[in-house]
Amino acid sequence: MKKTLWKIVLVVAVVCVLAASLSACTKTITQVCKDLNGYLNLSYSKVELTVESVRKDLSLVSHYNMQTLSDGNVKISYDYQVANKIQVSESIVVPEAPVSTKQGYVVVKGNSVVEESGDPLNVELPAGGALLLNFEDRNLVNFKLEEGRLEADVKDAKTFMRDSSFEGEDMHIVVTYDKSIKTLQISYVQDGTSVVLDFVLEV
Amino acid sequence: MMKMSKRMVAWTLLVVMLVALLGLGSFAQLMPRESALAAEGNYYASIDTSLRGDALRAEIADLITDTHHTNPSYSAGLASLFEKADINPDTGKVIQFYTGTETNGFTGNREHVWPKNAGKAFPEKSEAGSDGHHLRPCDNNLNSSRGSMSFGEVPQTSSNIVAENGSTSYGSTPDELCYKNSTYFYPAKGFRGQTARILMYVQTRWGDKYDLSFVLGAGYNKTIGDIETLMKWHLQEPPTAQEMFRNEKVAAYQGNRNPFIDHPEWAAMIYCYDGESYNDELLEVVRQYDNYGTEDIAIEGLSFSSTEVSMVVGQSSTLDLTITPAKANGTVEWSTSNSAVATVSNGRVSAVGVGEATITAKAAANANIKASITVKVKGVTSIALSGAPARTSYIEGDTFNPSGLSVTATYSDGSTAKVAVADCTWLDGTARTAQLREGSTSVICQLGNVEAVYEGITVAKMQGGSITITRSSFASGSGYAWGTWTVEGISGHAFLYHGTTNSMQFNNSKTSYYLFNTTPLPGAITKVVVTLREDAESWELRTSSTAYSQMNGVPTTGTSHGKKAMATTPTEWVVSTSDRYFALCYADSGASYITSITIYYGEGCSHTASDWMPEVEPTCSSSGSQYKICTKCGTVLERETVAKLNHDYEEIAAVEPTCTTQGTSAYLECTLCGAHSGEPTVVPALGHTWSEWAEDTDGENEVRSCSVCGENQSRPIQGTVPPCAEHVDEDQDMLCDVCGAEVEIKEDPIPDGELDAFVAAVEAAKSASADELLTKIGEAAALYEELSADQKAEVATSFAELKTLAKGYNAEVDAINTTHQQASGGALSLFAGFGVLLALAALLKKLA
Repeated sequence: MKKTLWKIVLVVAVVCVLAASLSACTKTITQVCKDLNGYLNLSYSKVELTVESVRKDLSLVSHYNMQTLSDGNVKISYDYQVANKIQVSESIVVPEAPVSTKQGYVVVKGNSVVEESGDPLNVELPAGGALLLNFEDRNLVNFKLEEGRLEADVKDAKTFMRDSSFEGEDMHIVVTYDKSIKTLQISYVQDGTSVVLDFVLEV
Repeated sequence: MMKMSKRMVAWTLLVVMLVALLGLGSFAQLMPRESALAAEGNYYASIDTSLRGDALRAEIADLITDTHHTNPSYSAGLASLFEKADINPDTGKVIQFYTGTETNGFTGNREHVWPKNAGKAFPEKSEAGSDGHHLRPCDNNLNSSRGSMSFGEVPQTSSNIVAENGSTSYGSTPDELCYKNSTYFYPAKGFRGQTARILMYVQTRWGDKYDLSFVLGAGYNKTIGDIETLMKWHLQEPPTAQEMFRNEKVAAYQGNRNPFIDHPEWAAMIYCYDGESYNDELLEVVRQYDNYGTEDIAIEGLSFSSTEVSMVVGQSSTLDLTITPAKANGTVEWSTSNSAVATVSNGRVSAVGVGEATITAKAAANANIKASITVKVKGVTSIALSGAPARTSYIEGDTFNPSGLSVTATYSDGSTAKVAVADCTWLDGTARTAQLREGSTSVICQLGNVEAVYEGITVAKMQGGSITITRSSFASGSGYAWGTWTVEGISGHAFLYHGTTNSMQFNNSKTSYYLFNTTPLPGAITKVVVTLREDAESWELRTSSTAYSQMNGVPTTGTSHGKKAMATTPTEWVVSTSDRYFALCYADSGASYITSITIYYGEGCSHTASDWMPEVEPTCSSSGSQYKICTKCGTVLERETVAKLNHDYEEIAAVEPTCTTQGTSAYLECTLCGAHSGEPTVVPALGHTWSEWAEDTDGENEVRSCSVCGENQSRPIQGTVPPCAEHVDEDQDMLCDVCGAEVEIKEDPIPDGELDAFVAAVEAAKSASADELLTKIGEAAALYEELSADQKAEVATSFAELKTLAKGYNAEVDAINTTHQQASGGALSLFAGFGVLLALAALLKKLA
């Protein structure tokens, strides 16, 4: 009887330990979203961004590298593509190539650009200022949650991007994280153009 | 500078045509005599050219008076005339007098080259005061600075430069600027001879009626000098093509001509022999600078002092061309190899785009005599501000004073250089207007299409109050002279008699007779009250958004609030304006004694905003802008961007194919820009659905019909007619015209000929897949370029279709570019810090 009792206790203990360890490794989607929102507030010393847009046969790829320098300034190096138009007037002149590539960099000190080089930056900043993502479990569907990785469809892109004027649809995200966001991929379709944003981040 | 010796020869040289070459710009420098002769016809047939002095002048005066049937109205008439007569035919812009600066339309003042002196010389706004051969368009401030000065040569020092539109950098060489000292006004080169001929016209046309005459030295009111210098200028700068062009325009309007443009030699024939004290001096000038000979002196050589010159986009400069011999009077033709980089007119080069252009000067009589110079033009790619402005506190309505700031421009070739702050445009950082708005903390520095922002100013709301100026407000002085007054920190000047101590004494017989402030009032002027010590005289109140300055006579700029007759009881003007500068101008004769002047100022216009007014209409591919103005004072209050439009697609219905014609599928087309969403596909013709052949009633033929469209066919009963060895089907009904056998329609042979090739290429482009569309459009476009004009007219429909395809492609390009830019900007903003975003926002605004 005594031996049986100890066996039962041992089994129960093992089960409890297992249960405890399992619960510590598996977070819920709610907890992950909370963590990710927190990671968004971290300062990332290096951000590598690739933007790819595809529309019918046209494809544009741009790269941005934002890095905080040792003096505290932020250098943004970039190369981007622009689709070229056909000149239409009394004659029609097609561009030599469908796409042109430009590159350059800017250095920001405080809130001013103190150095520029190369081709000028060619982006359209959001009218409302900075975007800040919003990981909200109720807004993510068809998700796959693994250790340090979340993949999901976004139900309402405007809510996710916190931008009521955002026009993208059919949004899909893939995030890897480990005490900070390591990689982030956001893909969506806007007005017939497919867009993929790929971030690689370092704290 | 162009060292062309402009010897006045007897005006028997050949007419030179003005040529504008396609792709190259050129503006031939005319030989005035021939052009004038061609245009004047028999106008001067009655003039006895054997006469000299006053006798000759009297005959000419009678002619140009008798034929002067119309004078333009001062306001609308002159404005309209300026926009016809004072334009550069190459640019279509109005040429401002004295400097040659060009403006879009007439924007400045009406300059009385012979000073009207407030109507004392002749009527201000009629007769001589609005004669089209006399008045010229001129920058407001330069007009005011010149005042009633006579003309003469002044040391070309920086302190003597006369500003135009607030800038002293409107010319890049000394001769491209105007100068003045206390006595004379010295126009820029190219306008000195014109000035002389205008004055000679005025003296001849109106001299008898208003007793106008020339003098040696400086004149005033009804006299003007220096005649010796004016004659020299007249000889050194003969009538230009622009002058002759203008003479024709004014003559067409008024009926009379300026004889000194048509016959420059008459100037010496009159003024060297009219019995005046200056005759000997003028004869010496004529001997030195020209003898009105008839000899043609050919150009033997042309050379520039350097092989290249560097310029910045927007800059203009006169090239330094040496002509040998110095007294050669042949025509020089100018041309540019690249008008997108630099244009040239009469030796003056304007830099219009980044790159290089070769400017060539060629002797019209001998194309082998020429000289070339390379013009290297760079553009400004960015500007940076440094230093700190001397003044950072403002009141709304002020304009920003950039003194203390430095502007460094970076150019397209990588070089950097400091730029004069006066060459930049300074705008309120929020409203983007020249006038600062309450609460603004920044200003925008604009140079061309690049901008930089300076943060760190304050703009307060206007305040209310008043100041009272009396004789005791003035610092000490003596005689009739400019004195300085100060009241509660506000200062100004007045030309008064310092010997009178119980009032401010003015007199219109003195050099000047007005009072004004140089320090802006803390608020907009609302009321001015004046009390005279004795008698009753008339005074005029003027206000302006910029400070008046010391000048002869009284100012005529800004807004006049009318003249008032005043006496010993206070007389007031109540005004509604946002101006903070005033000038009180004596408008009567004799002496006038003012006891006190009280200026009331308030908080300015309590703006009432209009509705949004469109500025730039948005399109499907680009945003627009709109603005609001104050309905009371017209100040632009704010601007905002209008988002680009969404495509407004309408469905273009499908066209169903028939038995014999092809159809097209439905597609969407934007009603705004014509872009397509989806391209129509061609649906082939259906072909007939024939019944079986059945013998016809005539017993010789058989017939069948299409069950869809009802078409019938008939042919000889098969077997009754021997089959043809070679079938003929001219009517293309798929039956042999002879034996009736069924035949296939032969495809048109592969299109040969240029027209067919182009049409086929367009069809290929219309059916091209997305990845080959650009290539196919390019192939069709290349074929189109090889067609003659007549051929192009024949394929206009196909070309229109090709353009539609190209526009549709461009719509796709716009869409992907816009989406890509937005995606990139949004993505960057996700992880950029706030400071970085501010910096990028400012940078992008500058680049926009």
